[in-house]
Amino acid sequence: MSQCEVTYGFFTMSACQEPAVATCPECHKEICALHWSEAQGRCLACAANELTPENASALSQGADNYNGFGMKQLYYSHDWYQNHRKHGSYSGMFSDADYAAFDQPLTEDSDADGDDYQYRDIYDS
Amino acid sequence: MISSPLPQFTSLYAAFDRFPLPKGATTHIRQMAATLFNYCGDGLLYVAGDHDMPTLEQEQLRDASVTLLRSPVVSDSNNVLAKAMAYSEQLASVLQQRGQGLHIAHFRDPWAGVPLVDFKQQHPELALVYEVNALPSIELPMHIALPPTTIAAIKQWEQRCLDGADVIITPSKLTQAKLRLLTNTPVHYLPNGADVITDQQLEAKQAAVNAEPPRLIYFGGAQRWQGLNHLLHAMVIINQQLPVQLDLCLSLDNRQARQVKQHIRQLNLEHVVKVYFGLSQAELRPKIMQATASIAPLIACQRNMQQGCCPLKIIESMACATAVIAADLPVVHELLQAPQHGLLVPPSRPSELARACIRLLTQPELAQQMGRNGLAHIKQHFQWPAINQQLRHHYQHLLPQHSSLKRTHNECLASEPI
Repeated sequence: MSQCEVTYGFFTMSACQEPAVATCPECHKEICALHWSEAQGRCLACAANELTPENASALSQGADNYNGFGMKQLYYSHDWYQNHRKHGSYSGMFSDADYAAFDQPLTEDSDADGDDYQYRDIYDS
Repeated sequence: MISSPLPQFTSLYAAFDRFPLPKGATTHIRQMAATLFNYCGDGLLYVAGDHDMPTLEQEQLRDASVTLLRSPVVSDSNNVLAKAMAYSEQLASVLQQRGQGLHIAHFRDPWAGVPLVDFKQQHPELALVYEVNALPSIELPMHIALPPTTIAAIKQWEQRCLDGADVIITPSKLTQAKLRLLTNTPVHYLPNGADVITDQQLEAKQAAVNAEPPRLIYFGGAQRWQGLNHLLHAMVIINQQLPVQLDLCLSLDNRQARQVKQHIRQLNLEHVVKVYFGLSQAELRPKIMQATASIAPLIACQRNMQQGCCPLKIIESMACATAVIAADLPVVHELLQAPQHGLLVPPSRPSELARACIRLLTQPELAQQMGRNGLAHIKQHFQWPAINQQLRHHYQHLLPQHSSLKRTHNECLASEPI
């Protein structure tokens, strides 16, 4: 019997490895009952992706149809990142110039792409 | 699991870090959060994630029910401020929707702190603990050329958190002194900790035939403030004097690490330096134990000299009974004494660093003695259970009426993080 391939566990992440009951048609992973959405016929992670707001205006309207909790807040889309600074409760805290400053090349960056610049690199101790 | 709504929670630990990752911040978060959750009996761990990590999970941590919420990160957006604001917005939303039962929140950065300080204005009984490991207004400008107005805006966020928290904890006495100049909120010193090696492991380490060639080790990040380039220049000098191997164990294969690898090639050190990425603790600790000395070549930059830090690499090396060769900085003095536990060298001086390395490489008995002394020092001052107990005292002071106080002392000890 195949095992669930969902990565799981937050103090130490590892494969779930419970007996799989289905294969997700979207991510093609073997999925156990715990991580399977019977109603949607796909794994929970892929099912949750459906809850992504289509655009920033949907977010600003505040629709919340997921068990009383705003799951939309958990799955911000790329559009949301581009637009949220005009909608959020902290939108006035930083100016467009502040955001633009963070689009500048890194001080020490000798690579043109800088593709893996992460906040976590900053907060390493 | 994500099929169920986010439950109510009485405690919250918030960190704008991807979690877990093979790095010191993860170790710190794991210890602190587990202590908080076991004290309160339940909790929400709110961290950053990415597309490879589940967004919402629930687990039982010993006798505490813990929920993990990861704020997702869009990989094609590299704007750190946008990510930080997304993290803040989501936390504000979570607090409004599920934070009514929140008693205590522990946060690591202003991106979580400001939403919590705002929430506390509506819920003044909420206790806030601000754990200051770093100040973005100091560390961000080391990566990005930010205008003064932007740095001032970030400082304003930091100040709101410093003034809005009930208590501040910091792992560096240098940081403690700086923060006391900035706020009237009580600031307590709570250093990083480590798990010490067993007596059996110590015996095995001492009985082992010295590795050939002898090893040095560096482990941690590759940011400029770590001073890795100076270590590589020192390796050139050492390699001219005697055979040696440097195990370079880096957290991630990222932009900064690529620059280090390029530097290794430029210096023709490929045969001397072995680079590893993302080692687990189980993989890393044998390498630390096998090394003659562990190097912490920190530079004398604003981050290390004014902000302060508590390098886990020094504490964990000493916990493995390995001698430390470190830059002679005040933050290092907080953790080790030379020459009892290792050697201190002027920062950014590769020739001095090389001389210290050669001294220990050619006197392995001296290095072993320093290692044993360092282990004893860690046992006395820096073991995680003792550090976590101090943290628990802070929680008890803030939340004396909490029901968890009904638990016996032994029950609390039994639920200490692994």
